[in-house]
Amino acid sequence: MRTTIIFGLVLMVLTNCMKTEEETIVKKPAENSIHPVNIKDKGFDLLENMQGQWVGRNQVMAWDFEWFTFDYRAISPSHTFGIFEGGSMGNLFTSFFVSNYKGTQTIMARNGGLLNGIYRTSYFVLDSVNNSDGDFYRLVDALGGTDVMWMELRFKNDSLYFNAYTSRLGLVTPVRHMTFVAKKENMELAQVAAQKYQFPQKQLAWDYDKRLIEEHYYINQGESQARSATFMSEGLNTSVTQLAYEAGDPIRIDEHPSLGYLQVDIERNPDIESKTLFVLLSYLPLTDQNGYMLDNFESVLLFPELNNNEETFLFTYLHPGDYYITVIADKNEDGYVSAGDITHPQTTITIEELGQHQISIRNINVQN
Amino acid sequence: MKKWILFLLAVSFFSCSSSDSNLPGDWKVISFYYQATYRVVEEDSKMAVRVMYYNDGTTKYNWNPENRWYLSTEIKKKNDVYVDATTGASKQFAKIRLKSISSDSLEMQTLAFNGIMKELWIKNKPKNYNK
Repeated sequence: MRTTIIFGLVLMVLTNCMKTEEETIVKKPAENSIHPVNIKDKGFDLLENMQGQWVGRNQVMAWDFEWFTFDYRAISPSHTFGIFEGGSMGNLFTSFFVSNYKGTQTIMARNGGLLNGIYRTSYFVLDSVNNSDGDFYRLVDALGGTDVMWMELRFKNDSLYFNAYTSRLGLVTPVRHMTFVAKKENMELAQVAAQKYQFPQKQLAWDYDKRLIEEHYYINQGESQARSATFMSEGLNTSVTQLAYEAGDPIRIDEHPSLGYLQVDIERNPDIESKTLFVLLSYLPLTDQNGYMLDNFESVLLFPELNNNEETFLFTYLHPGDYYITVIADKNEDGYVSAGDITHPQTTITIEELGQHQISIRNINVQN
Repeated sequence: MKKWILFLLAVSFFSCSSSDSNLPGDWKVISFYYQATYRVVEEDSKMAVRVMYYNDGTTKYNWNPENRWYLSTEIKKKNDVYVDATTGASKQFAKIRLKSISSDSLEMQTLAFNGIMKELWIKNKPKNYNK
């Protein structure tokens, strides 16, 4: 009797605390019910609103970038482009352009990048505009709509709220993936580009309807049909152009107007061996002629970090123009540019339209 | 014999329901990126987390019985934390874990994309939350 009661109580304790395993959410492919906004009616001002250098703070999944910037400039009469170059971690871009989507002239977004050798681009279509509290725009996955992913932007005064919601290409419930909160820091560079291309105009930058080959959609493993307007390929030692072809990307990097490339080769001396390198492109100088830092860091436009003792970096999708290039070695390993870090005298580079450039930095020897 | 029964009942009580009484209530999120107030409340004999207010700069929501948003429709205790026990939370939210820091603060962990986002929740003044 005693044994039975004790056994029963032990069983009760165990069952009360029994774990409930989390289940994987697998959803059916979404029905396509996307209604593109016709820019003859509204929404065209998204292109103009997006222009400029935005500086703020960005959370991407679990990463919190306390300082972050996107530099949006026109690359054609109806296409504006911005990119984050992360360096060793990869890059992420989102461009906005006039296109046709199922016969409607609208604005689409091309979002993607190269991360650990995985090439991805995804296409979004403008399906919602609201001008009641600032200017709000929503762009949804061009195949799966909000069942797969979407991005929302709201412009109010000089502020931008830019959120993206994703779902592992439809495999899980969408969650907030990126939150960028920023203010417009600089418009001069964007204005120069806008004047050059007579931006913005309601003319096709690309015709998505004609370029899309549905057989090229990425299909999740174990499934038979695509959920998302996403194109993917993989290859650690393959060029980004080759990966674009392999992915069947409707709009490839080598077809983009205006944008250039810059290969940076860095010589690591013993003082900066194995240190993280910040490779900064800015429109104001970050160091003086002797290599001492200047307080112009709000002018940084691109800020890749090189780890793993890397000595080269290739900037892709680079807006043409004049830049200061500054490589700073994180000598004190605090993860930021700070006193004690090692850099070099002021250096400039000019990027030509569609130019392919190279620069060597061999004098990183001024400790601040 | 009586001692054994009391001991096992005590083990059961303390191992499974030690801090449940602190969880129901309104919790304000401390975040640079968005503002939100969540309410932990008993619904249909389950512990749910309602979205009472949410504003991430582009999406705004106030609790509406006709259009209910939940962080989770069911959370359950798993070891020392409460976890989402549902197969699918409502849109925009991932599976969650709630870990008590003190009687009026929680660490909320969102499990998304192989990363863990952590945020601090602070409890609002007590009310009768089951109404």
